[in-house]
Amino acid sequence: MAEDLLKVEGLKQYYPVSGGILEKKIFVKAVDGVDFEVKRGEVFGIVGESGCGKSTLGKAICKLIEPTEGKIILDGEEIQDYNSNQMRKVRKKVQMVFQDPYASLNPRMSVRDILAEPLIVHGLAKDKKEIDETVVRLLREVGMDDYHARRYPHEFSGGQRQRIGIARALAVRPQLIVADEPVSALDVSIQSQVLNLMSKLKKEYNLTYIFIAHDLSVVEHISDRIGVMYLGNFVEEANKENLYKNPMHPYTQALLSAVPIPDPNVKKDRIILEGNIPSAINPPSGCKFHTRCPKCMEICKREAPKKYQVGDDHFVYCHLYDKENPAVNGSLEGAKDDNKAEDNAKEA
Amino acid sequence: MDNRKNILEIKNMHTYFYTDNGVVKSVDGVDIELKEGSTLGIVGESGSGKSVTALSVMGLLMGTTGKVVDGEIILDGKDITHLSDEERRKIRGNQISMIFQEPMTSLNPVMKIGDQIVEAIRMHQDKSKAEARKMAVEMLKKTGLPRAERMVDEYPFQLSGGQRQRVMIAMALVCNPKILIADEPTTALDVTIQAQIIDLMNHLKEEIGTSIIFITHDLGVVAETCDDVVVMYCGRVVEKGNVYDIFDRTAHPYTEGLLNSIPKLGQHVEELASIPGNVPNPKYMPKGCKFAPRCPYATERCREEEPGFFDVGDGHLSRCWRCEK
Repeated sequence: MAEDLLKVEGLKQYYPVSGGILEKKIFVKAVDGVDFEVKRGEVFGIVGESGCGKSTLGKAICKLIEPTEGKIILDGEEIQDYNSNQMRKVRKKVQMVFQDPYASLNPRMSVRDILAEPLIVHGLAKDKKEIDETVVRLLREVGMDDYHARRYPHEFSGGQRQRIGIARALAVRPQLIVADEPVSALDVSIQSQVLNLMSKLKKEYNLTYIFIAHDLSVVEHISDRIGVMYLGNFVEEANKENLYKNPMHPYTQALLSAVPIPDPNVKKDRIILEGNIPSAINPPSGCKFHTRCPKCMEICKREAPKKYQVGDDHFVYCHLYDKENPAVNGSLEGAKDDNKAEDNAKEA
Repeated sequence: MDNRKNILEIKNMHTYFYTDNGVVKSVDGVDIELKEGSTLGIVGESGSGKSVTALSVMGLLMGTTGKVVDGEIILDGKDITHLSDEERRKIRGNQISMIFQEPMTSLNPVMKIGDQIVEAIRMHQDKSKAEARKMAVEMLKKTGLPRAERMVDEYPFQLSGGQRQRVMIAMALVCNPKILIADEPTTALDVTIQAQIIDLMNHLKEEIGTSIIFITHDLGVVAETCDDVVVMYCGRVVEKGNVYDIFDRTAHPYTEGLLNSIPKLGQHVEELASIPGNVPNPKYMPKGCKFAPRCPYATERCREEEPGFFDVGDGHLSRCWRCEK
């Protein structure tokens, strides 16, 4: 088993939304206590709908925002309390690729300058000649040409810009790349080019990715293990075979059933969830999904579920899988059979 | 063969934009037929001309440099291409409605939801304010919005993205239009909300009997909602047919490339197929077939001469030399 490159423990990220001297402080609980590990060399996918906290989690891991609480252990080093000076060394190990390739490249810098900046900041090149060589090498690495170095971001298409964003992340030879929706702004034909590029680079540089996306098919394609987030917490965490073949959490089941299948011959029964994601300022009590859950029980409204292991490398945060709970007794195998679990839920 | 009548026919339509840097031929000879009571999907990537096609049909190009320079748009047997703005306005919202991708930017942020729907009703129907308001509440209820009575007095910012799209749908369908054009209506929404909206549109289509044009880049959505499909590339239709033709008997290399490049749930491949290169710049269109520079099967002829349509079976058309018999 490979070692953990990143370990996150009880990470919380709250944003204050109001509060003066006399007012009571109100927080958006964007990430509300998250634990997970990422092994060296794997791709850990984080999926969830907008507002579930997946992007905030990505930024917190890179310490682009100060986490409210919890531990971030990168390569054996606890980095959550590092100041910006201390972080500078760490940034060589972890880099980020952003969603919007139009907003994440400085329009006044040429591609050469964009790619040279991290090299200079981190002292990775000794002179101008070495910088230029490295820039050209990086461009070729991401499938672009030497002459692109002289150009400016506006001269490129979305897919090419995303390649530049990836090249910039690669410049410091990181171990971990956190990619936040890297392909969601791209057209489908370009999306697959960038996904293939990311897979290729991963092998070549022995990279580890945290891949954040809302598109379940894309995440399945690229990831080894996946965490599903809902309103600031993981609801299910598993390797991709388990998660997609045998989703256990009612939210994961609904999410997977909502994905349109590009085949007109497949007519599937869809679990249509009612309502919207509740506000993260005042999230529901107990299990945060209980307001929309088709299998909600009494206990779900009161108590937040613990993490239950339901299989090899398969964890789920749901009371349905609590063996101690008499209401769902024996539902571990029943869980695979949805109806039975539902019946049990009704009895409760 | 389906012999329902065509509620909308677009014949050889050309829409050009006259910019300072020359003419951009966004839509360059497009033929599309929409059968009564059916859903037609228009698929394509950014820049393929799918949205401009919709705006041309809606007559919403005023205020831009764009113009329908050639072709006919026939709505229910009547040519509406050359109608005045005034006459167009009578059709818009009444016979053809449109919903857009980003519901926040297409609703008026400083106007109550009820008032916006009432405005749409009273534009086309002789109703008192009270009657129109009642209709608005009814329609909001039909779209599955909770507490519709109170929502008419709320502003768009008080609603979530999915709710706003429901309001848009309510507004678009309140005058029972013959055609609803939905331009990427679910792209900005989350999958679980997307499933709700698609379900709603299918349901209302049955109930109101509206024919739908569904513009999207998401082939999954097309497979689940559409009866017929038109695939566009560089301002042209490259393939059209019913949904089974397109997905099961794919004829055009571009459609094939699109279908292969999307990752599919439950299917594990080491590497995704992809279409090399980018969509060409509209100012520097390649000579022959517009897809030839990116096409794995391109020959000398493709680069020199642009193909017309070839029928590959029962009205399934493909604009590719490989389909020539």
